[in-house]
Amino acid sequence: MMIFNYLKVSFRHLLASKANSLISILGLSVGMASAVLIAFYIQDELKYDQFHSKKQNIARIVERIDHSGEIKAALTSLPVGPQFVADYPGVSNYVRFMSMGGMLTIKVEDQIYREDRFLRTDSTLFEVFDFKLLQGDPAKALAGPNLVVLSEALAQKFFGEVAAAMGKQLFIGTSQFTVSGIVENGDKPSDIDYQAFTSLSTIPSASQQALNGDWFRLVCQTYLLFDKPVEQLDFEEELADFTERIIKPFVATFGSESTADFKLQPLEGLHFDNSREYDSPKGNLTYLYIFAILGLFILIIATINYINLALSQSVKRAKEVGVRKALGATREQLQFQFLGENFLVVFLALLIGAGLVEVLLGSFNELSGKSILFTDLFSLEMLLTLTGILVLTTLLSGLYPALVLSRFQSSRVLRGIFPRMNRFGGLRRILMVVQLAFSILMIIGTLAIRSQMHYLQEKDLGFDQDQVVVVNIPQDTAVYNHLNSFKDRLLSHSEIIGVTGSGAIPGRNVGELMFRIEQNAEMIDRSIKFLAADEDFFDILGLELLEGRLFSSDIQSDVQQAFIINETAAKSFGWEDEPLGKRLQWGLQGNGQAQNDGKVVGLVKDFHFSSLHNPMEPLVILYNPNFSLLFSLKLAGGEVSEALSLLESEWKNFAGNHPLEFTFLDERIQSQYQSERTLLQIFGYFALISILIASLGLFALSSYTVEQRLKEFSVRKILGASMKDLALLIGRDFALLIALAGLIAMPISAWSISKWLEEFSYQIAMPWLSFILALLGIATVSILAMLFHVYRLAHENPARILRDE
Amino acid sequence: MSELILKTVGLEMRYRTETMETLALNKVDLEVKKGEFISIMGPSGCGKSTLLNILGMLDKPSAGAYFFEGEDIAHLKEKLRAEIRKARVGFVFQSFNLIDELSVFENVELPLLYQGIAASKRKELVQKILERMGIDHRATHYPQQLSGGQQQRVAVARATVSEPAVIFADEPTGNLDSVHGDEVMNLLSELNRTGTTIVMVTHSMHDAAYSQRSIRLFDGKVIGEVENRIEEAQS
Repeated sequence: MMIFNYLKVSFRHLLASKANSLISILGLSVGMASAVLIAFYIQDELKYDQFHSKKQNIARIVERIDHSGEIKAALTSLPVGPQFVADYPGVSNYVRFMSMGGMLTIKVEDQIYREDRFLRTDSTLFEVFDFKLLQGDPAKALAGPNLVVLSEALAQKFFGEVAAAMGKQLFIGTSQFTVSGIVENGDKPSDIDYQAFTSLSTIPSASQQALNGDWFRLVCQTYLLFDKPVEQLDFEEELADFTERIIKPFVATFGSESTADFKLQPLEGLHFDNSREYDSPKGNLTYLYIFAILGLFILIIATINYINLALSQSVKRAKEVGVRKALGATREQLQFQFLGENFLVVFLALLIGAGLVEVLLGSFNELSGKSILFTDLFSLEMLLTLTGILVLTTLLSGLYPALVLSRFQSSRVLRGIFPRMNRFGGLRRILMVVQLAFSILMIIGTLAIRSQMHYLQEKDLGFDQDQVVVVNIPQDTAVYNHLNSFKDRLLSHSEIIGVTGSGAIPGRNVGELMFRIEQNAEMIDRSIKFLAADEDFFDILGLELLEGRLFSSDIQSDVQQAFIINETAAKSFGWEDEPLGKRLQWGLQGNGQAQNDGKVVGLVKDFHFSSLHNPMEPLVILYNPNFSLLFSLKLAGGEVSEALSLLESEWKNFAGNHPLEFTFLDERIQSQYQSERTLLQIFGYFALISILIASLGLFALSSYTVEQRLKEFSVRKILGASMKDLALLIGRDFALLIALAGLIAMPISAWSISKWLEEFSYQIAMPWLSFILALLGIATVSILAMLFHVYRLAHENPARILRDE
Repeated sequence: MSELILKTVGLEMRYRTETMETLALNKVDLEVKKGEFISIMGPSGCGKSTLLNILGMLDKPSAGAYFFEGEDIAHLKEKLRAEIRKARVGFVFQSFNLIDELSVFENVELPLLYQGIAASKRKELVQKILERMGIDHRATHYPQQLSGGQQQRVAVARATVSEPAVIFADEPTGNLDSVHGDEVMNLLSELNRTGTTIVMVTHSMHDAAYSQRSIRLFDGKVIGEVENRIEEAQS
C-alpha cells in the first residue's frame, strides 16, 4: 500500500532530525493539551445545569422589591413558589432552595464535622431536577420535617459506608435529622451547589408562618417548572397580575408606596446572568471568550513551530518530490502524501496531548474549581472539539508545506538544483513575528492582570479588614432579644477587642433606600445606599470621622434623627461646605409622610463598602443598635483560634439551636475578586506554556538561521570576523523582528487591557512597565538562543564547512 | 523500417529571467525508432538535459510538437503526462536520486506502487529485477550503505522494474568510476537488446559508443548525427 510507503518515509524523516522533531511534536502536544483543557473549562461552563431533562421547562423566578430602596435579588420570598403553582395552571411545580449558612457543625454520633453547602429544599426537588437519588424514595426523601439527603461522599465520610447511612440520625447545629436518602455527589456543573439537602419544612412552623405572610422577606431561590418550554411562554401578563393581585394588597396593609415585581430567568443561560444580588457565584462569559482566544493562540504558536520544522525539512525532501514525480506521482498525490503525513504527526501529538491532559487534569481541576473527568474527553462535544483541533492544526501546519513541496520541479531538482531555503525566509519571518507578537501579548496580559489584582488586594479600602470575624445573627425573636447580653458576654473576653452589630458590612448586604434629602431648601426624594449600625461600627472598622460626631447610645434621639454620611454623599448632595445639620428623611409612607426625620451629625471619610468593580457612591449610615443581621468581632492579634473557640462556646449559650455561621472580613472582601483570581491563575499558567513553546520555536528557528547562513559565516570568519561580529549580524535581524512583533502586540495589548480594566471602577494606570518587561523578556530569550548557536558556530573550523559545501 | 516511438517537430524551449530570454532548444527535430539506443551529446549548456526532460515529460516545451507513441503530448496537462510517465517511461539519473529514507527494495518498488500493482506481484517483480541487476543481496540496505555503482544499479532496477517502453538516462555514469560505469552501460545495452528503447544524454564518447546513434547538440540546435558500431565499443 502506498500509505505505508508514505508512513515509512515520514517516520524516517522525523527520526533523521530527532531534536527538532521532538521540539515541535512535544510543543504541539503541549499546545494541544492546553487547548483541550481550555475547551474542557469552556464546555463545563456552558454545561451548567444542562443535564436536567426538564431544563427547557424550568425557570428561576426572581423578585425585585422597592421598599424604601431597591433590591434586585436572585431570591424571592418564601410563598412565591407555591402561590404561582396554585394560581397559574401553566406552572406545574416549584422547588425552593435556602442555604443553611456557611460552615455548619454536624454531629454524627460523637463525631463533630464542619461542613458547608447544606441546602434546605422542597420535597419536589427530584421531580423537577435530575439530581440522581441513589437510595431512598424521591417522592418521600424530603417530605416531612427533619429529613436530610446526604451526598454519597458525605454519607461515606459520616458513616463509613454509603449503605449504612440510611435511617441514621445526625445533628445539624442542635437540630436532629434522619438520613432519608443518598444523592449523587454534586460533581456535575450546576449552580445548585450542594453537599446535602434538608427538608425545608424543618423550619419551625412559627417562622414558616411569619415568612409565608411576608412577600418582602427575600429568603430563597425559587425555580418553577412549566408545562411547556420557557422560551415559548408568554408569562408577562401573569407576572404583572401577580404584583397587582398579591403584592398590592399586601403593601396596603402597612400603607407604603413600596412594591415588588417578578421576572423569569430561563435555566438555559442562567449561569452567565450576573444581574442579580444575593446570587450564587456565576460564570463570566467575557472570560470564556478570553480563554477561547488564549487556547487558539497557544495552538497557533505550537503550530508555527511545526510549520518551521516542515519547511526546514522541505529542502531535504525536494529530491524525494522530484523522484516521485518522475515515477509518475501527480501533484495531488504528493499533496495528499504530505497532508496525510502531517495529519499523522498531529494525531500523534494529540495522543501525547491527551496523555498530558490525563496527568494535568487533577491540578487543573483544583486551579479552576471544576470536577472534570478524563472520560469527559469522549463526550460528543469534546470529540467534536478534538476533531476540530485536529483538522485545524493539520490544515494550519500542513497546507503550506504541502503546496510548496508538491510544486518543486522535478526537472530541476533531479539535476541537483535545489530550491534555496531563502525562498521561505519571508514566510519564516512572518511566522516568527506572529509567534513573538503572541508571546509579548501574553506576557503583557499576565503582568497587567497581576498588577490589577495586586492593586485590588493592596488598595487602602478606607477601613480595617484584618482580624474581623463576621457572624450571622439568626432572624429569630428568641435570639434577637438577647443581642445586648451576647455582645457583653463576648466583650468580657480579652481575646475579643470589640463587637459591633450592623445590618450590613463592607462587601455584604449594603442596600439601597429611598431618602428625602434637603437640597436648595427643598426636600427631594432620592434612592441612596445605606447601612444601619450601632455606635461601635466606626471603631471596629477604623473609619475616620472628618466632621461632627459619631452616634451615641446616650442620645436617645439618635436612633431616629441622626445620620452619618460619607464624603461622596456630601459632594453628591451639594453639602460639601457644611454637611452637618443637613436634613434627611426616610421611611416614606403612602401619605407622603416620613417615619424618620433627622439631621446629619457626622461626616466620615469615604471607604469602599462595595467591591472595587463599583465606583464610590453616596452612603448614609443609620443608627440602629437593636436590629442587627451581623455581628462583627475585632479579635486581638495572634489569638484567632482562642477567640474562635470562645465565640463557639458563647454561641451555644446565646443561640445554641442555630448553627454558628461566620466568615473573616478580609476573606469576604477577597472573595469579591474570585473570578479575577481564577482568570489570573489560568491565564498565567497558559501564558507560561505558550511562552515556553514559543521559546522552543525561537531556539529552533535561530538554529535554522545559522545553518542557512553557514557558508556565508564561514567565509566571513576566514576573512577575520569575530564571534561578536557574527552575533551582531544575526542579532540585527532578530532585533528587527522583535521590534516589529512589539509594534503589533503593544497596541492590541493596550486596547484589550483598557477594555478589561473597564470592569473595575478602581484600576491601575496602563501598565507600561509590563510592556517594557515583556519586550525585554522576549529579547533576552532570543538573544540567548542566538548566542548559543553563534557560539557553536564560532568553534567550528570554517574550512571544514566550506569543504562540505 | 520499424515504427517511431518518439518524434519531435520544431521543439523549442525558452527560459525567461527578468532581464533576458535564453533559447535553450531551437527547433529541434528528432525521431527515435522503437527499440533504438540513441545518445545525445554536446558540450555543457547545449540543451541536452533540457531536451531529455522534455522527452521524459518532466518539462513542457515552449513551442513545437512532441509525439510519444504517435500521440502529440507536448501540451498535455501535468496529470495526463504523469499517467504516461508512470506507465511507459523510466529514468536513470547521474546523481542516482534514490530516496534515502527507503531501502533498496522499497526504492525499486516505488514505481509499481504508483501503478497500483498488488503486493505479491510487486514482490515478485522487484525480486526478479534485483536478481537481474545482481543486487538482490542488498535489498534491505539503504542507499547510503551502497557504493556508487551499486546505487546506480538500484536506479536502473527502479527504472526498468515496470518494463517501460523507453528509458531516459541522464549522464548515467557521470558519478561513477570507469569499472562501475561500464557495468551500468552493459546493463543498459542488455536492456536495449531485450527491446527497451533507450535515450541517453552523455558527454562521454566512450559511453556514446554503446548507442547505435549519437545526436550532436550545440547551442540548442541539432548539428549532426553519427551512427556507432556496437561491436567496436564492446571489444
